[in-house]
Amino acid sequence: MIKKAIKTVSIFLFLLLYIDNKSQIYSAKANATEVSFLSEAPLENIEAVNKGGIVVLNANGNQVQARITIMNFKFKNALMEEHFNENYMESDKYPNAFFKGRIIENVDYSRQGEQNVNVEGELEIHGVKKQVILPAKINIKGKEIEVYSKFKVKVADYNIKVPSLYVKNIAEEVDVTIKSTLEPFTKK
Amino acid sequence: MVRIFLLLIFCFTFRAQEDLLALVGDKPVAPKHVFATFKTFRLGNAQTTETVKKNHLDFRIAHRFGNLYDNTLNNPLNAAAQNMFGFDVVEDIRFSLDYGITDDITLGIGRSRMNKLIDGCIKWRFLKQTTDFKIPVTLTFFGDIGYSHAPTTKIYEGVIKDFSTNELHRLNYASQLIIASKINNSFSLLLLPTYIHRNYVRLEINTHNQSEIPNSFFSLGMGARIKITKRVSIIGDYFQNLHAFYFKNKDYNMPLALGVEAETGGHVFSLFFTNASGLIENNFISITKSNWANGQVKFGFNISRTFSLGR
Repeated sequence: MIKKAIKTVSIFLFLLLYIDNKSQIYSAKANATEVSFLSEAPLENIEAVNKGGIVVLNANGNQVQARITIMNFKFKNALMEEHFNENYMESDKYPNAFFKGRIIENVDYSRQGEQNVNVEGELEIHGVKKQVILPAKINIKGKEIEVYSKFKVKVADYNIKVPSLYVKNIAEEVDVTIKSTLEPFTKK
Repeated sequence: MVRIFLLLIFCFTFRAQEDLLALVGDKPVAPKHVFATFKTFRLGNAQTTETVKKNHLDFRIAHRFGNLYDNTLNNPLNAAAQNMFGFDVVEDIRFSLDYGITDDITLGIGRSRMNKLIDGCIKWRFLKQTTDFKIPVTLTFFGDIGYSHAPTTKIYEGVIKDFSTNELHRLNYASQLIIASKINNSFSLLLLPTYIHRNYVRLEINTHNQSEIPNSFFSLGMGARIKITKRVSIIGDYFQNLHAFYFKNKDYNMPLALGVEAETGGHVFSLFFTNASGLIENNFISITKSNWANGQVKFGFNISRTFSLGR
């Protein structure tokens, strides 16, 4: 009798968790994720924009994950773009960059408007994984969530080697900005 | 019951470290096509499969100095020192502009000192090597039409002219299928079946086998690049003309280039030694007279700067 009750409750809980899980996932809208970086160095500023990324948020557990395709960084100078992929990022070996982490603060997803948060997790660039804490903003607009984060990436931390000849062309720390608009995820 | 508990625990842990990206059906993207088989549009003498990127303009200055040394001269060492091992001599200079209509189609114009040749060319990359080697090669077509604006007396120099002057005699053509394969990150191979046609050639005879100079002939080029660091490579290329006139001809040799290539941000420098004087296929494949064995090797360089237009 007790055994049967526990069984029923367990299955119920399992189903609840399962459904709960699904209903709290937000995924980036198509083409709504933009990652850009800016390298400010004495001789030149280098900028590139990437629209080949995705951000996923699980409101139930505050989990955040993101992925970007490195080859999608677009530069003004195509030769620079080629060298970025070939010599610095080695995009054939490490085609993607990842972030996997969670929002530290409790977020009230029912409250409309902007909230400042910190995201803690693992950033993987050029095959190197680092624990980081990134400042971010979450803006809840109706059913959609806008996320924004701006942070610095130290090039040397990710084993990206800049020859001494180019120290005046490429910054040691690069400003990275990521913004995305998420909507509730529904399985297609 | 234990099983159900395990399932529950699994469910909780699953929730804690869930792969959200996989859950929404996102998959990591790997590059489909091989990129940067070569750093620039030319290896040494030979073309590569690379094209100018869309809306980019490549301005290029190519230069060949004179022979480093020439042991066919009476006092070769003195002669070499007199002209600073060829640096006082200009064998050829070519200025060119190449524009990327799309990422795979390039149109170009150029002007060479040798034969006062103005040329227009098209380069079209129509097949790209894939990273999984299902398509193992990249294929590019290269076509070039050259027009010599040398004086008529120069064009018909030493000819018993029993025919009328014809403007078409100034034209020559080169067409090439460029086959390249990036075997791995540091090694790329190049093969260039080439067809050369000249509307007019002054009669010459190969004294070894009595064959006459042809108006058109096939040539097979080959080349390779070996990267020694991320930015510095060793480069080399060679052409073999497939016509009896060019076999064991004491006046003609086959162009061979050996050198290094270095990339510095927006520039690519190719520094190499070659026995060819010409800088465009129409010239150097058909008219290479110097011989490595005689020390008749020239220092050459290509410098290019690519400008981004539009966008």
